[in-house]
Amino acid sequence: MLKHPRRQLQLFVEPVAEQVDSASADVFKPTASAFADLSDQPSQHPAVRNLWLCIRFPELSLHAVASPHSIPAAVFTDEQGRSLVYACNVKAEDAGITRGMSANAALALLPALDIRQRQLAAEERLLQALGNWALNYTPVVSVDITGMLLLEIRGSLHLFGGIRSLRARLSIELHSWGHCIVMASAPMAKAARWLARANVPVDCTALYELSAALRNLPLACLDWPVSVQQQLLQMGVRSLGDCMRLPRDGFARRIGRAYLQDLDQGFGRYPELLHYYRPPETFHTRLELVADILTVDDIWPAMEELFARLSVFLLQRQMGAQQLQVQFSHHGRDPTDFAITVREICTSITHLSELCRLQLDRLIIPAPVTALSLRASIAVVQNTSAADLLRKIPLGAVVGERDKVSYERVIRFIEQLRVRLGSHRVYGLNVVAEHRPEYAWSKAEPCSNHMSPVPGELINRSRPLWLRAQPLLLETRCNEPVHHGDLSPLSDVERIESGWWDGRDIRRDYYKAVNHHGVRLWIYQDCRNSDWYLHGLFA
Amino acid sequence: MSREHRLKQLLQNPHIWCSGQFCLSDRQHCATGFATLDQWIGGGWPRGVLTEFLLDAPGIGELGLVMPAMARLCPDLLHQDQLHISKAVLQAETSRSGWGIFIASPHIPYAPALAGYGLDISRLLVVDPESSADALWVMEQALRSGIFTAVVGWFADIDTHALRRLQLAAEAGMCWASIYRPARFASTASPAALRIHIEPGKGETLLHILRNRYGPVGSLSVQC
Repeated sequence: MLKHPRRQLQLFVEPVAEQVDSASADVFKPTASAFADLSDQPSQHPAVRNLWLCIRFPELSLHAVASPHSIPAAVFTDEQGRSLVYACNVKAEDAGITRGMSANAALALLPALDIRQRQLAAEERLLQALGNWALNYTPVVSVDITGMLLLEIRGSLHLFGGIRSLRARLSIELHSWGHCIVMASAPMAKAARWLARANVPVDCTALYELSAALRNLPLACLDWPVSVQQQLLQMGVRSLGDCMRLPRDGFARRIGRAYLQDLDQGFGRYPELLHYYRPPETFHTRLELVADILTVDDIWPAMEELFARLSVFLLQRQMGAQQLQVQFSHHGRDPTDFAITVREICTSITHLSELCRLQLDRLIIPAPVTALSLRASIAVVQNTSAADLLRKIPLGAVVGERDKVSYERVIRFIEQLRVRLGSHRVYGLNVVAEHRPEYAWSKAEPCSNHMSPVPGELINRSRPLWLRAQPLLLETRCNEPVHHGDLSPLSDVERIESGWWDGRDIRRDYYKAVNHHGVRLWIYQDCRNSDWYLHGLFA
Repeated sequence: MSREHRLKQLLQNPHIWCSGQFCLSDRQHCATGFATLDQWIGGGWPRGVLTEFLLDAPGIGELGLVMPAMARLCPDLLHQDQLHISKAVLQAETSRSGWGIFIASPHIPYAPALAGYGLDISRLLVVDPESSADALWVMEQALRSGIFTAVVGWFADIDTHALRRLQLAAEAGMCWASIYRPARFASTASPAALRIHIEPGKGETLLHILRNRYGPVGSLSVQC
């Protein structure tokens, strides 16, 4: 167990060849010297449970612009008015093209070089798509804009049978799409990124292996500005291991606190905040048609294609859709669109497509359709009830003791009715605590309050089953009301006087009456103007 | 094989209807709540077939005729006399009861009165379509869906072809379907299995059973 003598002089001396064995525990041992080493403090991280796998795509920018694989190709960016090569593929590298070379020089070196401009938007889209794909393996994914994907795989190791098989699986899939990758894993995300950038595809699964793995990495893998790297180079610091032997406060003063923090994050002494990748909240797909759709019958197969895409999208995310917007584009006209909203987040594509179909039947499409687009807002389903695997209610079966009719079925039926008829034409009923008969009931949303019963005191057995929407003024003959003949009373008077607080006060005397045809009426006399009205019928 | 045996076998053919004999079918019936009416129509309102009510004007007890049966199918258990039922049983019972739907009713179904009959109004759906074509569509969908135990519709003008479709839908859904039509259609043909002409009487309601697959035709009076 060797100790480095006079550590504070290391700054100005050629870095000593590594004499410490791979047991890195002693490097972390605190010393008595005044200038504490960078590598001195033990990791303050609690037991590290994460394992981050970093997948680097060195040829991402080439892939994003669809550069060919078989010939030398490169991608350039414009920096300060000069076009510099940003990335090149293996064939171009073999021919001598390097990153940072000017594009003209590259072309001069290799006239057959396929050089294209870097497309940032396409790269971002590609990274997002890769992030989406990575969600298949782990829920914690972070996308680095410098062309790297970070996956937290400690939780997935058991499922995928260990780190080797997981890596093999990932690389097979990515290679099949034509990506060239470098994979490295480490307990810290930053350390994994360093390893990937340095093209060191190791698996560093435990913290104690970390230092050994990172020791010999060149400074370029830290992705620090060139000036800082130059400064460190002039000091004789060439590798990460050298960097770790520098004193902390001296490093902070001369190089910068930010870079010190960077190093700390790599070794787990300082937490790193990552932006986790979240799949997009809306689904938007568009189908450009080869031939215009002229008849309504042909629209539905195209819509089914869009719904199939939505179904795959929802299934991957285990989410549901709540609002759909369908748009049909026409030549030279405004697009036709309609929207469907469901009350509860719906995972069933059949229900949504059924509603869409109902709406489509009523829609008038003015011109041939050139393209269709479907946009859906999706959200996490709150209560997923497991589908009943064994029991289904077959239609046509004799149902004795009624099987449970789930509220979902009723809600879906109501939605179908509402799409066809209009929302205001389908409703449930509610009893309101009111003496005034016309306000003693209200329209209610069905299935909204399942178990709230009608309070006993509101049930009135002397009320008619039919209520007229507007009371009908009755003619009178000798101060007696007539309605298709003379009326004879069947019950005593019931005076209702109420509602002075909202300006719709009433003062009425209600009677149950029957005319000589046998029709039973509920009539009242308004006490203020002595008019007789028909308010309801005893059906 | 004796002649009686062969005759019996022939009569068992479901396509032959025997008048004057209660043909016992294995269909379900919903108890009407009126004992005399139950006897006439074979145990109660038949499920899986169309029941047609013909009447001149509303207000003569036509809805009160079906209310006891509806209340039994969608009971409001909280206000019946079985207050000693435990909550778990109550919930189980409520979850097993079915739904009812009123389609194109002539007036507003008055909620306090419906609750007064013991119906659970939270399981009642009221649909108010614009046109009779829409009403027909709603009724057919409701019958086929299998969600509703009681489907009641009012149609002022509906032809035999549409009635046939409703009859087929009722068979598919196996629920109790009843429609109300104006009395002037009493003489036209209809595929409904049970046709009742409702007339008001003195203090009671007269029912003229015009066609009855499950019993005799005739007239009777009920209090409703």
